[in-house]
Amino acid sequence: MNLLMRTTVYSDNFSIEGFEPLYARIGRGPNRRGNFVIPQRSSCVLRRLLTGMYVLNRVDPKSRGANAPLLWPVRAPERIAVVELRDEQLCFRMRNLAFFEEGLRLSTIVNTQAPWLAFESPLITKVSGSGRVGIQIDGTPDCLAADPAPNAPHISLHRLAAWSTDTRFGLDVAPGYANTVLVAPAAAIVRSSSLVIAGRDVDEDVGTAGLAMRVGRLIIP
Amino acid sequence: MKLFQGIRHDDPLRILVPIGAPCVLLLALGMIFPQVVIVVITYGAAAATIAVAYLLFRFVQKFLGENRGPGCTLDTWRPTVLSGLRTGCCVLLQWAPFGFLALLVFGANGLIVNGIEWLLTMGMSKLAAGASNVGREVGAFSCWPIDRLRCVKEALQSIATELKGVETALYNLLVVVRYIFVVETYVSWIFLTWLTTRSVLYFLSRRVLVEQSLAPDAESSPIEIRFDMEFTR
Repeated sequence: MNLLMRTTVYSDNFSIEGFEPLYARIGRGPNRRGNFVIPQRSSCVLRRLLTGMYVLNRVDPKSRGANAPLLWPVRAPERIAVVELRDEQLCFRMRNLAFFEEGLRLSTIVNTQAPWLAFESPLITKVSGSGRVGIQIDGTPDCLAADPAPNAPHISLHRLAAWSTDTRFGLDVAPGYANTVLVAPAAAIVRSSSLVIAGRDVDEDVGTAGLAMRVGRLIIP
Repeated sequence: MKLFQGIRHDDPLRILVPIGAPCVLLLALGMIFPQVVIVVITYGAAAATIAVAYLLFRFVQKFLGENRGPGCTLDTWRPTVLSGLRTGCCVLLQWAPFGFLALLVFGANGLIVNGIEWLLTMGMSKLAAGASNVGREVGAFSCWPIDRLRCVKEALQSIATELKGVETALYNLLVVVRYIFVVETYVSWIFLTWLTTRSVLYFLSRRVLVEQSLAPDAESSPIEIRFDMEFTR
């Protein structure tokens, strides 16, 4: 069973009964007394510090005292994509991480391919091992798995939330010096992949705020 | 020529990395020079990076283009002087607002650091001289056999001690402030280096991707981005 089939997208609160103890972003997850810990303190330190994910809330679904099932809250318009990994590896953006089970291991890979360096950060966070990981996306996500195909979909790079390490992307950019100067986002063409999770593309107006965001992404990817 | 023939034709953008390295080295070298020289080196580095990038691309295109078949990125991208200049202008346009801001911060830092140094040397020496004068006067008073002036003598001694204390405290404060500004200058330089390298990489990559996608027989983006790297942390 491939990774895509083990991915479930929740648009409403869902039960985490049967989950292993998990580490959740502080302020998210079931509303219960915080049990703040620093798991894997030497993994992805910089990125975790920058995104407020260094200290996490440890939630143990098995230790609940109440009778009601333990629910993970999902607030519209966000969605939570839960991916079950079986000794597989998944790259993701730290800002999209909602939770991960205790058995999974965070790490960073370094991608020095020049086209990737030009548009994205060389440091990519990755989770590996066996367990479930929750990816948070605003709006309905695109969950794709693609074999080499001629009509592969285009996804704006900044919309990518998670992708398996066997993914092969091609890069595409809009022509024209105006697009270059206005830092129009580059698009990834999914050549082959077990799983790519991305937010839906929304037309991005190039107003002052949009331009500032684009330039900001260029300077600090 | 053999060196360039060894580059994989499906990932020609890898040659951009050697462009960034000299730029970073040059800027890093600038850190140990006096500030005026650093400013000159910064402008020179930006201009030289663009020029070197353009020339290197033309050079590699010439040698690789002769040995590779149609569809190769470097075959399809045929830059002219005009397109090179336009690319250069784009890089400068992107670099300039932040680059000049960083330079402004850097220049202001230099002014403040120099001002603090002047305060430390001139101001402190005058303050010290003042304290010394008061001390001397106190010494003169001590020769007077007039008990009525004992209170004045004690007051002057107290002022001298206070002045010495203020001098020491002010000196320490200025040293700390100066240190903070020096550190901030280095942070500003690291930012400038990052900005320059990233701007050049961004615009050149973008130009190459556009050129190859516009080629009639070229597959859109033959470069594959992979994530199965061995190096992890």
